[in-house]
Amino acid sequence: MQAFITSNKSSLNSGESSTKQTTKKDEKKNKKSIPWVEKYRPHTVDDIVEQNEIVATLKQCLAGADLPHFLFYGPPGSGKTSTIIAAARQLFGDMYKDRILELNASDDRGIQVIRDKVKTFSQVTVSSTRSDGKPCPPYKIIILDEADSMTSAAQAALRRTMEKETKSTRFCLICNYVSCIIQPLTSRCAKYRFKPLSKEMMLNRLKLICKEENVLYEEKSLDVLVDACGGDLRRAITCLQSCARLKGNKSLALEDILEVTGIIPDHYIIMMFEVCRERNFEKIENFVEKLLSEAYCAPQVLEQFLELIISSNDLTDIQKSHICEKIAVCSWRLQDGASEYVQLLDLCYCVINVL
Amino acid sequence: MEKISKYNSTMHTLVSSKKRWVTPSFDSFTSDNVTQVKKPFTSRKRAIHQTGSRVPFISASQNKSVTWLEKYQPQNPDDLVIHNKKLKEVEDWFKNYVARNSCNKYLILNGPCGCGKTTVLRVIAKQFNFSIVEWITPLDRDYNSDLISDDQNYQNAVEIFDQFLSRATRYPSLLSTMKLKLILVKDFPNIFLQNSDTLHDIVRKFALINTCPIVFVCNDDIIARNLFPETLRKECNMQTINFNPVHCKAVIKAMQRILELERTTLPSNINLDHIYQSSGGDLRSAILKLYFNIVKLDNETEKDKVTTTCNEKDENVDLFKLLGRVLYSKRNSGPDGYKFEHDPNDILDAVSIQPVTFVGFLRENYISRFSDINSVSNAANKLSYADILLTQHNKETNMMGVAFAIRGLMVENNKPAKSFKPFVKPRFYEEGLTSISNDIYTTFPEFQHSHRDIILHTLPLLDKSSYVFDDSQKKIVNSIEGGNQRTVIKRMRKMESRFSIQLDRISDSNQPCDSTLKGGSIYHFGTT
Amino acid sequence: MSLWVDKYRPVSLSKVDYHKTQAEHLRNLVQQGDFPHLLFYGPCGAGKKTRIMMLLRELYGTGVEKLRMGHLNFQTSNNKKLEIMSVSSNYHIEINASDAGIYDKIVVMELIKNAAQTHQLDVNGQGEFKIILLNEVDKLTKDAQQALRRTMEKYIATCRLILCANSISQVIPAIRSRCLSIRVPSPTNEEIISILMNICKKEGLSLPTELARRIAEKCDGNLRRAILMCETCKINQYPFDKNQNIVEPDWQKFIYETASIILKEQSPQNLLNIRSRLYELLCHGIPTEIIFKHLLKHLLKNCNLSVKKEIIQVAAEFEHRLHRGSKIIFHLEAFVAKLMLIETNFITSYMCDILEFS
Repeated sequence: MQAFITSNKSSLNSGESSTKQTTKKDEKKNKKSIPWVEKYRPHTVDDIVEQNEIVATLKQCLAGADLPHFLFYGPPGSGKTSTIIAAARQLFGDMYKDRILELNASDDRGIQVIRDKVKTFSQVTVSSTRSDGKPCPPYKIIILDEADSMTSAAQAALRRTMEKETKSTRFCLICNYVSCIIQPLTSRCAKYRFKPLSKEMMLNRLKLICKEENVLYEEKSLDVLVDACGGDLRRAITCLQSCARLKGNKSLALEDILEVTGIIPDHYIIMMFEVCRERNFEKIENFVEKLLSEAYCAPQVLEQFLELIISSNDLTDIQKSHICEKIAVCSWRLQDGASEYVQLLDLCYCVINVL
Repeated sequence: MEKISKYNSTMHTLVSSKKRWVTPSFDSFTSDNVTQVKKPFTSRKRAIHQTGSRVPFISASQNKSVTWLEKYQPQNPDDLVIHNKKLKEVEDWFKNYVARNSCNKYLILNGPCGCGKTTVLRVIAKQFNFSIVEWITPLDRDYNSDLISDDQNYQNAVEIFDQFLSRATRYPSLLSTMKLKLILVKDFPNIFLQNSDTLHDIVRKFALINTCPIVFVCNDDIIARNLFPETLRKECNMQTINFNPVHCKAVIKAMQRILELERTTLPSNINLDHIYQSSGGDLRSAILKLYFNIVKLDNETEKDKVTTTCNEKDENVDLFKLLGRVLYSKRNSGPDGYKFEHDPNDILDAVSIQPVTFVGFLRENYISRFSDINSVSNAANKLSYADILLTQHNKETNMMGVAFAIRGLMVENNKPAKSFKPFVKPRFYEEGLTSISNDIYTTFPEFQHSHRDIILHTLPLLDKSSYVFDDSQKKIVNSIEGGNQRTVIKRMRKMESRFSIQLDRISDSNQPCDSTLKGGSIYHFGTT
Repeated sequence: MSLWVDKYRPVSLSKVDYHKTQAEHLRNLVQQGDFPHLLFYGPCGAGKKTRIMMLLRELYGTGVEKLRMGHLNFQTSNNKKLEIMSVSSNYHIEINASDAGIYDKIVVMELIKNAAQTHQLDVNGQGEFKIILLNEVDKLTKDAQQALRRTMEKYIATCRLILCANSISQVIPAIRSRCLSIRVPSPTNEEIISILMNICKKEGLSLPTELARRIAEKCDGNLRRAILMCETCKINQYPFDKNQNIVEPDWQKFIYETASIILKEQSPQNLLNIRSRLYELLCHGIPTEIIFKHLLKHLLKNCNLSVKKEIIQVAAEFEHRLHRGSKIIFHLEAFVAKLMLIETNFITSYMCDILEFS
């Protein structure tokens, strides 16, 4: 470590002159490095699409009604965090950063943190005027992102705090699965389910971003991207950005999207099924090896294979159920760290058996 | 118990009562114990009234209950079960001491539990008119502040022992009428076990001072050797008397004596031999068992069952016996199927080592005890499950793992192999790779990839070519080969880790190879 | 003099032998001056490391090639001292955190924290970032991976992580979604052949295509191994002969022999024999997954068609258990015992069939 530190300094000293020259460039770089997810976050509640119910409620609050505690749940990337931040921004204007406390699962969130951090934050009372003189509600918002990964003890500690600090603080719990939140908490919050975003909407958003960022693309590639992300806009935007970075100034092709999202080209999956049909053991072994030497990820193979099986027309329901069961077992084993080679072989042999 | 309180009273007079260490540390325990003991008596009394066949061994009028151990504590040398020779040795030491006074003031009594070391000492001491002051390691020392560092505690324990010796040797007891005094140390403070040097210093110190004799009693050879090394024994003129477990006949004789005095007889299904066996030469335990058996006798209808299980549980079953019971499980066929001669539950209870180690032993040894592949395969399968259970960090699941392994092996082994083979220790190979990786990086710095790759793909191939390893690299290669990585690694670590690398591949194949390579590959598998 | 592997390692992204479009993509990435955390994955010997080094060179110039070895010391919560080797240049530091075993979490966290924080002290360095190269991320414990995800977010301003893994399926999704993953497939046999031919041409040797093809088939898509094999061949026999013996690692032969022994005789005694062979493999440091894979491969090649399915099924189950449990040998042995049982059953049923037939 010592060597690392000192070397770092010396290198910087020697390169000092060059860094000065490039300061301008650096600034540009910094601007560029803002993730697009942040850059294209909706700024007002009106920008939020598809989640009509919550938008209507928030609009009421903006108009002056009291804000309840919220519990947002729904699949990732459907705009939960964006919604509450946009609302906060509109409520508090420029000082919204001081008025919200965002804690996500990456922070340490034991009982102690709930007790200390949340308490100290919520105990500070705030004025009811903004810095620019406009009135604003006299409370702060605490956003607990990924609340389902909080321990139930920490959640229990929260419920007392929630009641006590209602005067000065509103809580907004965000999670993927509402079932992981303890009952007392859900009963104290206004629950809203966020629907996965529709395809058209995502496509529009992606196209807008492409236009803004001057990214060239093939029509089909965006379709694939939207399909692959299945209603998760954040993932779609991140992928788009990665692709754009990799491609430079060239237009985005279908393969690039597949590469970045980690999706296996369909012909591999179809081939897997075909090979099993041929009942040639040696071919199966070779195929599995080939698949792995291409570094495709086995759980992804299973997922796509599952889709193929389910949508297949020439399999009976019983055959399908047998194969699906095996896929489930294999993916469980893979989760525990089992070898991809052995598990894929097992699946293929099972398919042979069923056919 | 009583003994302790007796000496405590003596000690009170010696030291000011402010000193906490003199308060009897077993006070609460003592009283508990007495009440516990009382219970069976009352029930027994009732039983006697009903049957009227036996004379109660403790009369109801006796308000102080004592256990048989105290009641029948030998009072004169004739009652002792010790071999006469040993008795004489102890007597001689006392005689010597009295005659020459303080020339050999240290005595070490060494032997297994319950063979009568302390009893002999007490009886003989009484004979020679010595009073005994016993050291009791204070349990309730005041750790009232966390500020006391370990270092200070350490000082304290030694100091207290030191003070005790000097006080006890210097001042006579007010209560005792005997002229001479003897200090008995049975309960060594833990600190001495960790660091015996401090004890040695104290022993040396008191060897010079003209005080009363000090007797140390140990019941573990290793501890005895550690606490009192040969040099110290010679230096301070310490005499050692080793005791053996009490002989069978002597134990039985003693038990018979008690039975006679109690005017009671043993139940028919138990004999004294049986009790002796389960006690393994421990007289104290034998007497307690005898007592237990007699108390239990007419308490319960299921007496046979109770007494037998009680005896078996107390049996000193060693590891190998247990392994034998699992791997050569005997079956007694009954009307509905068979039963194991040794209940798997009992085997499980008797497992006294780590669950993982026990299952390791079973796995290492099971194959050769099976005769056909079918049952071996099933048994291996069970062991594999057991390992998964043992991996969970949960004591209950772990015990389930052991139980599963034991039962699995017992049930599957329907035709145990006849031949007997010695049991071997389990060999566990965790992935030794991690320990070796650092050394691989240092010795083969030019390979910029992971150590797994180096072991798998690079070294075997390099070795087949005429690539020349320098000394350190050869060692690594050899250590990978030898399998005994740990020791080699340790040695390697000590060496300077950064070697100057002189790697020169012989590109010209005509050039003679390095001598070690002539004999063949250094990286090879033994049995190929 | 260095090995061919090192001598002919491409150093610049413009000079790669295969995956050329990918190399171009990487150059695009670097030219923008900034990039997210990267996750390179692919089978071993596919060239992940080579690509990472090329990327660094593209970014910082030849300075990254001045490497030095160092020891990093870490202290665990129970005061155990850990020493981890590191390779570093002025611009990056590389460690293999999985070497720390169960303490990998501490290593990962401390390393990134130190690297990121020391950088922050420097006023001039704000526009830049440091590279932390972590090898074998897939071998890290789940705990360490969780910790990694947290630290990744926290210090994104000052450092970039380049992660390197063999299989992405063992990397938790949280990390995958925070990184730009770059798939590095193994080179195809044709690519390997042409690389081997190229190297030999540069060395002034003539390599028969047939031999190159045989090497390519034997190397399991591992280019490094292919080049080493080729070099070994050259040392053992030159001029090349197209049928000459290609040296294979001993452990591979050993595993194949073991498989044959399993098929030859099925008895408890033989199981004991297999056990000692397994012990030998384990203490030579051959990873379990390799043992398992090769054993299975060879068994499948040599067993009867009708038992193949069963063998695979059993293998999949025991291979999984091996990851659930802690003592590898338990499961390997149970697997072998089960194999023997399958084989015995097969033979007896086969014999019965013959008897009935006659």
